[in-house]
Amino acid sequence: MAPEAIVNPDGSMWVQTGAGFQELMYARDGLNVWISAGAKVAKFSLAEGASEDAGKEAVAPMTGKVVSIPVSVGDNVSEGDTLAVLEAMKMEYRLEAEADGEVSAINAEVGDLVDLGHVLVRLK
Amino acid sequence: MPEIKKLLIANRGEIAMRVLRTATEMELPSATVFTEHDADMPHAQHDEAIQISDYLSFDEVLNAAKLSGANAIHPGYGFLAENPEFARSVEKAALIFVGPTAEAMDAVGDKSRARALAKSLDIPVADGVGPFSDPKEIAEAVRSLGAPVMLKASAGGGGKGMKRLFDFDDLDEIIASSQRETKAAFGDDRMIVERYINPARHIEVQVFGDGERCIALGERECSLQRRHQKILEESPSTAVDDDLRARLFDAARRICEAVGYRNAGTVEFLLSPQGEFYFLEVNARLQVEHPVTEMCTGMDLVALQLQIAQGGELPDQEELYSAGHAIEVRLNAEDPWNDYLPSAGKLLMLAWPQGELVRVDCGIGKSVGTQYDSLIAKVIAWAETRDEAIETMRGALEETHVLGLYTNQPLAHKILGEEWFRAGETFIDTIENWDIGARPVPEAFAPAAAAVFAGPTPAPPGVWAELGDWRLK
Repeated sequence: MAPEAIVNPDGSMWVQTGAGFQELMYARDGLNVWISAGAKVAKFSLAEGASEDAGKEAVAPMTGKVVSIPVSVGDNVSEGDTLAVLEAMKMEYRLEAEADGEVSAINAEVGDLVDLGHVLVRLK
Repeated sequence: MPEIKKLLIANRGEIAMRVLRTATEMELPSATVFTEHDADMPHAQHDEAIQISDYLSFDEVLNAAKLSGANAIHPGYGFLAENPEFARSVEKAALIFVGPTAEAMDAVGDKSRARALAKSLDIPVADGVGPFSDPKEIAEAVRSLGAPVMLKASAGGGGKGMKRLFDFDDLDEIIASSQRETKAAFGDDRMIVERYINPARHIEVQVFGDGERCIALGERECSLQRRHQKILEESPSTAVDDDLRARLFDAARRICEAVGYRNAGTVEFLLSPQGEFYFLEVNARLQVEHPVTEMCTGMDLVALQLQIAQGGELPDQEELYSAGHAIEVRLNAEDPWNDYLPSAGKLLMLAWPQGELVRVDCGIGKSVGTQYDSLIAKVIAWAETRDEAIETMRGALEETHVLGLYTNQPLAHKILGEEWFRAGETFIDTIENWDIGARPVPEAFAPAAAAVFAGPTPAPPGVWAELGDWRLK
């Protein structure tokens, strides 16, 4: 009996589907696996579990430079207010409050380079 | 004009590699520059690659030219390409600038002056005011022109600093952000404010000049954009017939001839659904999407740039032809399913399509950082008809594998399969108003990922025999 999947060391693989074997390309980087076939690409991660504070934090969605943090600790903000502005690849991105709240912590300064996942502003 | 003996390529990534290809084909010695962030990029691996700290530094680029013994500088696009002060510095250093003269750039590179020039030639333009540096003046101009308006960098393009305003909420903050982007991209924070014409197509004409006479090589439609940056370009446009083409070419040539334009340039227009066109701006440089024109005309635009820069002859308009249909997809390191956020990271796999009618312009290293823009490669396909070009491009994207970060590859593939795209219903706000749905993830992907996490499959010889030639070319 044929196996359900054949993973070749060169980055190609075969998976058995209803229609027979399908060829895909893959790459693994630690806990992440990327799969590509037919101009479609997806990433699968072993590390799961969203933060309980989701919505109460402005998290850097990419590595970038902090260009502005227009709020201070103690400020009351409303949903949609800008909490921070990041720059990456020569474009600016606004991080907005996803809920109303009070700014409880600011963990970056203008000019800082922050990594993906860095919590810039925390609300309570 | 003196002969180019050696060329300094003052840019990075795919365009540096593109210029290098032609220089090599012409057997023209060349040197490149690179920064520490780009040390693993292909342009930094050139035999003669000189490290500098910033692609925007006049002194360092001029010094690199001196150091390498180059007597000409090709600026690519972006960075110093449209900076008249830089062009002046190059000439002052007795070097050849492969591009328009500083005077022509002064006259057309600045959007507000170019607009006045077009008006004086009776070429229609969209209402607009500026340039202004003072944020208060910008805000005043925005309010007096009324929504909807566009905020644009006076000094350059590429969507840097560009904002479309339907209302004036957060106006001061938007202006500040816009000016910061503009300043960072062009070293100049002057903005112009323009009436926003909607719906409209973005149509541009590729021109070349010799300082007196100008020729038009073809039009490109670049309506499909996100964040004001083009993602898919094609030529010819489905909305341009022979009569309109003749009028667009004529307008483009007249604007450029009026300023004694030399070398490559692009004249951009908005085209309304009724077929009225409005002059937008002149891009005084070679553009990202120039391969589309090259595929249809059979010309090497970089070679023509180098030829013109040495006083070579400009072809006659009557000699030019354009055949078939070409489409370009820009592969950007960004995730369309996460608000187009930049996606930086290690490139774990890169595989490009093969085929005579498919071209890939690429220049990336082992990773994509966030210091520079998100364009990692361009895939260009040509065929005799538009339908065939669409199919060729879809096939090319299906053979493309970029793993390790998100790109817009799946989105481009999706666009090419849409009815509205096949019907040529492409406008500047089409992508923004289109629901792209969820990320397309085929059924086989999750079991595939699980199998990868489980590790490579030991290879029983019988299985290989059954499957035959399974490796990707």
